[in-house]
Amino acid sequence: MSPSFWQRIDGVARAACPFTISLLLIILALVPLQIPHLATIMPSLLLISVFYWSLYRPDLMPVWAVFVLAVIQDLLSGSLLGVVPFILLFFCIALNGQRRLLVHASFLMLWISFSVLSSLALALQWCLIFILETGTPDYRPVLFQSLTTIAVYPAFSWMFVLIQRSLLKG
Amino acid sequence: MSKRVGAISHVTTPVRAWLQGSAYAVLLVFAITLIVLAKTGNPGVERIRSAVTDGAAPLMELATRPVVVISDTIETAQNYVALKSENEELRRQNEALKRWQLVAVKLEGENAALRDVLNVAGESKPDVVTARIVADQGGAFVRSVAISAGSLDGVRKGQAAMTGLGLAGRVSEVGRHSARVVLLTDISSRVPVFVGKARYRAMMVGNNSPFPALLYLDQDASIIPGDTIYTSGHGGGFAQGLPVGVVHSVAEKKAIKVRPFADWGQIEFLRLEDYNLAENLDVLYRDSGAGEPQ
Repeated sequence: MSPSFWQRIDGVARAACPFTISLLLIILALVPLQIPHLATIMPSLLLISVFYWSLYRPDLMPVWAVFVLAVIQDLLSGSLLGVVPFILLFFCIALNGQRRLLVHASFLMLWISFSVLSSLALALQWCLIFILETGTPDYRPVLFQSLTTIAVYPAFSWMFVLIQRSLLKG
Repeated sequence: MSKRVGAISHVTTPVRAWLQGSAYAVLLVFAITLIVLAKTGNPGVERIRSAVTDGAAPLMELATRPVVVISDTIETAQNYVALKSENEELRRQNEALKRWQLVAVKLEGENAALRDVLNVAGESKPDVVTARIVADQGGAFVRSVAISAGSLDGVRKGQAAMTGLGLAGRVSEVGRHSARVVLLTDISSRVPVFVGKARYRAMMVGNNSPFPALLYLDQDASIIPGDTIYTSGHGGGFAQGLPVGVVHSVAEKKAIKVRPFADWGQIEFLRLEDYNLAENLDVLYRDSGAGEPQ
């Protein structure tokens, strides 16, 4: 085996990092934690991951990867297939529109932008479910999920910064 | 040189932008197609979903293990702390239950005698499979769980999923090693039920909140909070008489909320009960000359 082969493997593994991390976060969010009522307000870790990586490494988190992740999220969580991909595509379009402003923005500015975008995404998702299913879905879990997602954003973005610095230099 | 690069990028940038834009358009159409397929109950969607859940189930089970150890340890510690007070409480409950047991034995005898008189056909005992929950409810929009038993373990679509306290949901998709259970609280859940001692017929409809609603109830039905609710068996979905919950509140405009017996915060295992109703339905459809039920 030539070293260049291993270097290439190493390169691929590093490049696949954002996708793999997002996939693991999807699974992690579904693990039954035995904490009463946490599951219904579990933060949407996929939104945080997609926000961070498609902002800073759009080359490693292209829109089709976001789509695939969203489909997996729908399949594993048992929700109506296609809803999360639909929402996340709009999320990415909105994010791309603000890219120039956000790439060099301060952390606080990023957090505020994420709060607005993620809340809009979850609100849009509620509307879609309202249209597609009979009956009115409860809005309270959506509100709480939106708040928990915003609350855990700093911790996860800090983790992503560390990963980006240590694994994805250059 | 810089002029050359500028000239090339002059051409490539709009092309790239167009490609990116069309990628969004293509993926959006894809997403809408997926929604339509899922909404129309395409069997392919169901197969893909159960295959993906099957693939992820071992990984999830592995991830669940440390959580189980930690929560068991915490529970044990809590049990030791609360041992004395719990003991007294249990003794009190035990006395009350003993009294109920006497009543139950008497009623059982009476019931058997009456069934004998009426010549009622014997009730079938269900086939039971118990499975651990490996994937929790996925966020704010869906109330369903994945369990670690599938078709190889005897799980079948449509089975009733019970907790120790009452009905929790219904098996909606079955893979080889895993299955998905839609809980009573899910927005897509519909369960035909009887309410109270008068056995008013109604439909219990989920709305993603912890309290499903009762719909299609008789106009003159008188219902008060505390009335028990159990499955009616109409439509052939469930066996009759599975405990579901109690009436939680009765507001104006006939908005009746149900508090299911199942404790959503504490479910770790589900018991799947099969009354072979699907087979009965098959026989029924065959005998009536109609096609197989969908």
